[in-house]
Amino acid sequence: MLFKTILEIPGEPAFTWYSLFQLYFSLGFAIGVVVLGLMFYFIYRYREDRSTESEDIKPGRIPTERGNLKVILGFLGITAIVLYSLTIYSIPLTSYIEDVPEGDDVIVIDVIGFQWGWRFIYPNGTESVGEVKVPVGKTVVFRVTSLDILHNFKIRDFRTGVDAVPGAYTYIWISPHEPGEYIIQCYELCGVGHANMVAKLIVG
Amino acid sequence: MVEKPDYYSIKHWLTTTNHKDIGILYLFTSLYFLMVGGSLALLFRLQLAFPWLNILDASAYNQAVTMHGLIMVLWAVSPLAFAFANYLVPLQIGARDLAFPRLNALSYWLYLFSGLLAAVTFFIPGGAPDVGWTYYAPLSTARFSPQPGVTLAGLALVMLIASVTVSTINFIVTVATMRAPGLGWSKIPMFTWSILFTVLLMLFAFSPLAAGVLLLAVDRVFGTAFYTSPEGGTFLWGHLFWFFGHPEVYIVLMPALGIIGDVIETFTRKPLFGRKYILLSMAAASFISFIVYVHHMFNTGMHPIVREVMSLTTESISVPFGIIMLSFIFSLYKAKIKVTTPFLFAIGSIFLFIIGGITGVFNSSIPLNHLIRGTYWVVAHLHYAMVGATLFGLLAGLYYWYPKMTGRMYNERLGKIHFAIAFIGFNVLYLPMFIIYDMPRRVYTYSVPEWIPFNQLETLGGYIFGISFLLLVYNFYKSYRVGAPAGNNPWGGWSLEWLTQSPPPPHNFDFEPVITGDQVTLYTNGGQPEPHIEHMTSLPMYLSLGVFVTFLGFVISTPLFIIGVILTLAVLAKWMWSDVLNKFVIPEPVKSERWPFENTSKLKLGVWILVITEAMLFAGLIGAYSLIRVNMMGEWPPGPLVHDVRLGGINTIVLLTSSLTVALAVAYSKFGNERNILLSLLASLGLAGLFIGIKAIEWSELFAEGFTLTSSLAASTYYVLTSVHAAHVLGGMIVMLYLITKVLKGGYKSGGYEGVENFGIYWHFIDIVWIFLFALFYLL
Repeated sequence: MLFKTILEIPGEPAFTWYSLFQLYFSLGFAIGVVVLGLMFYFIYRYREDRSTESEDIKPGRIPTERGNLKVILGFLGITAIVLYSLTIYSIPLTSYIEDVPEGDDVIVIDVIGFQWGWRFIYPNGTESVGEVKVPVGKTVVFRVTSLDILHNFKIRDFRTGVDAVPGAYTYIWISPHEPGEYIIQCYELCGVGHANMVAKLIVG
Repeated sequence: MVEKPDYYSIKHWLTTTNHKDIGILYLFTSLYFLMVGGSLALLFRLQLAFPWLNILDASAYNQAVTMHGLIMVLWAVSPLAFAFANYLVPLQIGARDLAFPRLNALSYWLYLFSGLLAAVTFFIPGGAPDVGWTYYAPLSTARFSPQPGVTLAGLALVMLIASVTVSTINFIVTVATMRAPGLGWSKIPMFTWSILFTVLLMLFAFSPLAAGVLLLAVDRVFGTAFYTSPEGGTFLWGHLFWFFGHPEVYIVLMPALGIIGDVIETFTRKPLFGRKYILLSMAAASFISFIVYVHHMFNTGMHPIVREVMSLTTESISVPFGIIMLSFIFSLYKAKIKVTTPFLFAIGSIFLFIIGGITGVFNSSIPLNHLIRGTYWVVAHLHYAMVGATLFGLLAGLYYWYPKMTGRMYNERLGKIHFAIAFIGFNVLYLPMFIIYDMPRRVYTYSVPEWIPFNQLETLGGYIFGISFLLLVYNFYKSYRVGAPAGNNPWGGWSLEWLTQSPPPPHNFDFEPVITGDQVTLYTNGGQPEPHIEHMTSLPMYLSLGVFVTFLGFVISTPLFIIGVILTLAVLAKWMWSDVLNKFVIPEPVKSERWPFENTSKLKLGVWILVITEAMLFAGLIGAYSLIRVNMMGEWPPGPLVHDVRLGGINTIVLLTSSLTVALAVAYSKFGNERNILLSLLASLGLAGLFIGIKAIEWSELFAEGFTLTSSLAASTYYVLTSVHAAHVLGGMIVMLYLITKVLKGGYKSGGYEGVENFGIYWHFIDIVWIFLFALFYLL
């Protein structure tokens, strides 16, 4: 669903993700409404039967230039400012979400994607397929790779995911606050078993 | 006056080279593929509405999704734009035809048969490709997808790339050298401009893709490991595919923007707001589109700084599009707007593009991308851009130019109803996807109950959208028979296509348009139009058929393959023979506006553009080489240890000497010294043969040492790159044979030795490529 209430969010980085998404969404929505509103106003205001303007397009006559550089630079300025401030604003968030947390209380779990399932290897060497258990309140790092082809390891309730690339490691982390069962699913087409390439994340 | 061709004869349509006829062929073919791609979509929408049903099982679903993507992007939407490009670009610039009409026919037939080749995969064992239209390796390699359909569709892609390359050359040369007298660059209508940007993008984007597909085909057929080894693998494909894939989005979009520009200008009755800046923005966007593609690989663990930079460039590409959209909207300011069907579709297109654009900005954010990669957010966004903005824009064009193409008016009320239903259907189809945006794409079933009602809504929207097209078909069919005569200029448009009859005569203008200042006059030239010769030829059709049979046979049956090769070679020989006899000569336009190409012939410009596409092909291959070699680090053996530098050096000298003799031939051609031209060409031919011979010796020695095609990645790379180069040398040798024959037959008696000179450009290029390959493989 588009938005979730704060109680439905099971932990980080989903909180951060939603805050950024909401920023993008509200800005995007506002800009969309203004721009499209302007468009519809112009169409309403300058319709043939209401407009008193002259017709300047004549057959066989190359139209003259209209509009001025100042207005265009205004367009440029507005779009550039909005876009670049969003980017600059999200640089610290990017490193927050992307930097792999380190420390003694961080649990690192190896994840190996394969056609079609997920294998998890805990720090103590025990393995499990299709299910991974993590404690509440701890930060868990998933070190992801693939046995065969490109997969995408996604924990949608935590708003995070990363590609599982054969021959390479990629990392994501979660920090769950809410006990419960969550879905881990492959988000990159990987053959006939793709739709059912799911695993359970058990927090608690 | 010219006799009107018989439009009811099948032979006419198989042999025509007239740009308007080719445009009509493109139109019907692309609408056919649009229907095929659309039907596939309706099929899998049905499955998604009832996820517990098995209307499509996993494999069938993946096939449907893959073919839907491939067909829609490559064989439906982009060619639909080229239907208009073919029909209208020569009209808009006041030319009689495209620069190379026969090659234009070849473009069309290659396009048609490549599409059929892709469609045939449904009917061969193992079915159509099911790896997603992005063909991600290693899923698309033989180990994970052994079915022949994947190879066959790849070959179809190669054929389409050939078609696109020929079109690219044709359109650039046409716009550059065949504009009506006085029609400077600043006076060209928006649509023609947009096609120019489109083909420029194609020029740089498509041949690296050919490199990527070639490596995939070699992997699949000969068992190399470009995409199965971690040194190449996912990343290699990702780079080669998305370097093409992202500009492709703008290749598809650009013509629609041009159409919107023309439509807005006509129906607001005012010049576009900031037309110059719109064009500058298009140029900027075209350039930036080549440096954003890594955002498709944000989740692959690529270096963070690369991703931050690409995130910034991705944001940046929104800036020119922001300017374009705002300028379009401000064009409505102080206008006198006539709300017609094309205008509605244009406005609809802007509306949907703005939604598609804003939701696209989300994708450029690295943190947000962690979730939305691979979700319905992306599906919705890309359809708002590629179906909403693009298809609605193209439909605006279809309604706008229908009276020009048929000479009849369509039913305006039905057109508006079509718009309303299509617009509503479209939004019912795609808006809900933004609500359940965390649903994974490309799954045939799902188990989240909250997603079901939204999916059912989407399916409903899909059927409304699909069925709305029946109205268009009915409207156009009925109006073609009983519509009111449209006259030359039903909309009061300013551009040149509205100054001739509807439909235009085969030669486009009875009297030549001449532009002085901002005024177009039809130059009467003593009252009689210049004579126009229609060239009819079946060679392009047979050549494409030959390639079709060859590729199909290559994958499914050897006898068929042999038949195909024989057919292809026979048609090529016949084509060259007819050129030796100068059966097909189009005079260089004398009075046309062609700054800055006043002293460059059409053919020469065409060869230069060909060289650019070839350079991009080798750039793709050498890029692959670099990526693999860097990833292998110490494991790639240094060149001198494997290769015989002395023998390679001798071969380099042989090839460079052939460049010298070709240069001699070019020099002699300036003086018309026939005997010496022949001698230099024969010497070049001999040297080229020697080059191939020495290469054969080298290869057999390497094979004897166990350095074979599949022995290591270094070996595979060496053999693929050098054989692509050798194929170019062989191609050059065939052209030399052709030139020699033509000189002997006296084919150059009338107009210099242009062919020799242009061949020189190509041959020097091939030699330069070899110097690179020599350095990369032998010395480093």
